[in-house]
Amino acid sequence: MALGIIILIAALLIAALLTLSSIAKRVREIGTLRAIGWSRGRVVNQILAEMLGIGLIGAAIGVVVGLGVCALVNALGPTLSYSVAGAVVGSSSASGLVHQATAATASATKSIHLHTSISVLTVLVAAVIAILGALLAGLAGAWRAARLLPTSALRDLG
Amino acid sequence: MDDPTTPVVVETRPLYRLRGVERRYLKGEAEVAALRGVDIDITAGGFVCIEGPSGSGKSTLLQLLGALDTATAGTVEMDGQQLGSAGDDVLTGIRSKRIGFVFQQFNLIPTLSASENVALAMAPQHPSKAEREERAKELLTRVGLGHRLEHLPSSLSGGEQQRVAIARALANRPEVIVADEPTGNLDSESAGEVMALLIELQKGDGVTVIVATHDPEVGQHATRLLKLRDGLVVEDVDA
Repeated sequence: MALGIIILIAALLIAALLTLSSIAKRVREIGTLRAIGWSRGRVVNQILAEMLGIGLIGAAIGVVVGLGVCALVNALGPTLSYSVAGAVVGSSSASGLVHQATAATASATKSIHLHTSISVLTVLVAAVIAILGALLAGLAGAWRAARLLPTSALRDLG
Repeated sequence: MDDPTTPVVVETRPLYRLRGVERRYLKGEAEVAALRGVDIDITAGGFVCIEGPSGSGKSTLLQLLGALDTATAGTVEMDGQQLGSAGDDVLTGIRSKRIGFVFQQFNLIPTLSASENVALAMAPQHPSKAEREERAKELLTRVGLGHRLEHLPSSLSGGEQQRVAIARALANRPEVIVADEPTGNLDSESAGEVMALLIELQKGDGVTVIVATHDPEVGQHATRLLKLRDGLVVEDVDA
């Protein structure tokens, strides 16, 4: 659970950085929109709408890929095996030196048969998180875009 | 009782009135004065050319007239309204309804067609998509691009892109067209076409056209020529 949350936060931060980077590349475009009469609010709404679209596409791709992987796992039914080695069982000492003698170790082999179960609720929650995450990441870029002055954006000929 | 022989005095208020306008920027740690005290009146309906070399302040002056920027000192009035003390919403509204912009780099959105680029300017004023499309088609046809409605900017020549930009500038029936070096990136033939279009707008539609340029040839079309040097108006001539 904790690992999942950490991964989610990392994904959100990466998405936010990518959005900021995208806005930096669109400074002239945003400046032009402001120059031709678009308000700050309209520019922000445009960027959030774009992020919503990206979130929807991302959620759709994620659901499809996730379901595909689940189906594959269930079809192949792979088995993971692992061994647990036994402990040292005897020791002796002579003339101040410690000798360890290890008796034959006992080991146990465990097997896990991989299988997934698909919950509609889990899929829906994952999709909603993807969409909300995209919007949240988009806020950073939208805030940056709203602060751009039309003239500074037009002077940037990058 | 009104005396029919008494002349009627009609007050002609200038469209723009600038008094003591300064604009300073910070460039690194140094302060640069782009405009150092400009006093001019601009009446409606003319073709004003602001001419000067790079660094003369002509683009800065144009940005003030276009309500894109505010002066550091002095006053800029448009139709009696002070632009310097106006809020962002007011300036945005003025740019949307009263002013059309044409840029040297065209500034078209590369992922949108010619028609969509023109319609973009109408979005704040015309929520109906059908209305925007119809108006965009009308304007693009007027500038000679009725057959290029769905073309992306990348498939248009420089002159065609600038004509799309002019069509976009006309989208909301502005009183003023503000053009910053509109022919700066064009070959001479395309430049001539663009200038002819701007002149037609001024003479035929009564739009006030204000052009900033370093090209003296553009000034030959003007009804008024303002020459700028080092942030000051050094010559103001009615053509």
